[in-house]
Amino acid sequence: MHDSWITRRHRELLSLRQPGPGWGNRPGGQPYVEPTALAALALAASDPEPGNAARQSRAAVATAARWLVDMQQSDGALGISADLTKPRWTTPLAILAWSAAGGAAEHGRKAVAWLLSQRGDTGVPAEATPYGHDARIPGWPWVEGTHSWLEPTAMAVLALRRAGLSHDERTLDGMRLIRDRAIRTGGWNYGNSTVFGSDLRPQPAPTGLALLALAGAEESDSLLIERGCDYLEQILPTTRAPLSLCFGTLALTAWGRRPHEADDCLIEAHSSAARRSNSVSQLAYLLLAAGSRTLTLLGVVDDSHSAPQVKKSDS
Amino acid sequence: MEPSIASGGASNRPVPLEFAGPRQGSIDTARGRLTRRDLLVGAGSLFGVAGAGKWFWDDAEHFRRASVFVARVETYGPELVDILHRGLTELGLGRSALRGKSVLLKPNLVEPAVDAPHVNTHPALVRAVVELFHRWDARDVVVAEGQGHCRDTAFVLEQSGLERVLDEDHISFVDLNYDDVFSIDNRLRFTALSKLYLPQALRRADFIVSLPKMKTHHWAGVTLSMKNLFGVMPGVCYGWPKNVLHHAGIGRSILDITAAVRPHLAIVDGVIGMEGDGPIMGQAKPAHVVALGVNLPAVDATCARLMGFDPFRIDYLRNASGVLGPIQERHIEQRGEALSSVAQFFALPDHPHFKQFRGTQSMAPS
Repeated sequence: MHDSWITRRHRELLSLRQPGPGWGNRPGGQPYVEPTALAALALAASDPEPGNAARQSRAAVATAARWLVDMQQSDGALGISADLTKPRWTTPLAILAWSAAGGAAEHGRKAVAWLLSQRGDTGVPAEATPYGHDARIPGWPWVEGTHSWLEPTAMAVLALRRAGLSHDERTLDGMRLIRDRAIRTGGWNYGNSTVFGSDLRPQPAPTGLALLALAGAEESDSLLIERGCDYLEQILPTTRAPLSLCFGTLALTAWGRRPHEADDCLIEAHSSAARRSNSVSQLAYLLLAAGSRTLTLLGVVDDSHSAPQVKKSDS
Repeated sequence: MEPSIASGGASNRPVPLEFAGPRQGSIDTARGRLTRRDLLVGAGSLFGVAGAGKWFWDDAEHFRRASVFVARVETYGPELVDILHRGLTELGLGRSALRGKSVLLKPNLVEPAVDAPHVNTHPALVRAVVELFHRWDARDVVVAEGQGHCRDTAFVLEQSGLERVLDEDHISFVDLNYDDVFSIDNRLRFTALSKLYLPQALRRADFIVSLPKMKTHHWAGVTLSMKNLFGVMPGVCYGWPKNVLHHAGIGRSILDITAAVRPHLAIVDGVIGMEGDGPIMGQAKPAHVVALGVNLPAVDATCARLMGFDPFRIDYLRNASGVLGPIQERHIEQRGEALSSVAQFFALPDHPHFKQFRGTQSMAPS
């Protein structure tokens, strides 16, 4: 991606933050954990041209990381915002953001410990269920006390891998859940592969997240990976939705299949993303997809020196 | 017309709990609600004779009346605006009801499905409602959704075709999954949820319209204007899918949410509905109808009949009877097309699970 495009997007993202230390779901809105963590990751993952934008971006990442520390609860988790302390599915994003910002290692360890203590409801009704997946595999829920779903599980796996826990039992279980929820025809959705015998439809963003979480832990020619990547190659040219483009493009990059036209798609997507109300996250997703260090910051590519390492005994 | 949550300061207003109980069974006895026995005993002591109690029970909807307009609609063409105009006028709605109002339209966008447009409310119907309400001098009309199966709102809008309509007609869109939220006490308490978290967009609106697709639903039986309200619940609080509501009970959640949001109008897209394994994997069902009404249970009960269902076999409709509206045919004033002339049989999958919604007759009658 051109440095000038990256620089303009950095400036744009910084301008959407005001007046607080974090980012809201809307420009200038009250800060929320998810867009703040995403924006910090996005700024840290790409390099603007040297100068003011670069300095301001570094400062903004540090400020965001401190605000996320303020949002951390006594047990290590983070909620949605200062007012909404639950649910706490944003915790993996904070772990990744702190790791990207550097520092806050103790807060990262505490968040990781909380994450390891969480699991979705694995209760299976006595009667036969119409679902195609194995609900007994422990993953992560969106909301504590409910079932495990694909995206929170994939986000947790990425955060744990970034924290150096690639071989932890929980990380491996998360990967097992992801494999189990794959749709036979290729790809993933929110987490149901079949219901009443019908194959459900895949979606690009969950597919991208799943493929990122499995990167390096699966053979590239496995049917699961091939079909997932094939699905992304087929669907991504039809969309300019930033979230889908982000995780779809990053997943194909991780598996050595980044589309040649990826940068052009991101540039096109930017023009439509600004129209929508949650343009902060959309801009952050586009920057993440363009970032040269994103795969490292997401724990997909190993870079153990900059991650908050957690020993098994810490958890 | 009952006020909605949108009218401002709604959080402390009681829901319209003119409790009268369902026709069959009991409502949520575990949470202290009245049982059939309670009602009969109470009525008996009031009137002194058991017969009076029976009268009360059988006429649970006695004080509830509603009108529903059903229109035959062949296609999603420009004539939709005139059809809606006629229907709403018949229901007593017009310029005086919409003038100066801030309107929120809540279509049903479940998930992206380019190859299955019958999953989502057709964009042409959304466009027609916006056009008519602007003609009637609404201050503004926004489209709002918090879809449950896909976190990427931009992708859903794009793939459903709604984005193009929003852009061409300069219609604002609010992502309810990511709006600021407020909480209210869950006063109906069909579920164990003590509070409900709702998007601020509902408070900003004066007039809320549920704009669902007419579909079968493998858990609820049918999904219409009441079930469509799952989509106002913010994903940041309830997840994708909104599994908290599944755990709380889908039917019970439908009732609590309907009582909390209290939309002013329902317009059901049955031009091409969905039968079979709805709400996402079923087959297109050209039913060629649009149903309108200000009382959601009455509209949904009418649509259920149009689809070949007895509303009293649909758990949440049965429990809404008398509590949120009438569902008995004799309490619903039918306007527009006669039901018998436009009714279609919406098939269900041939699986034992679906028998609860229609007895043994899951497939089309011979």
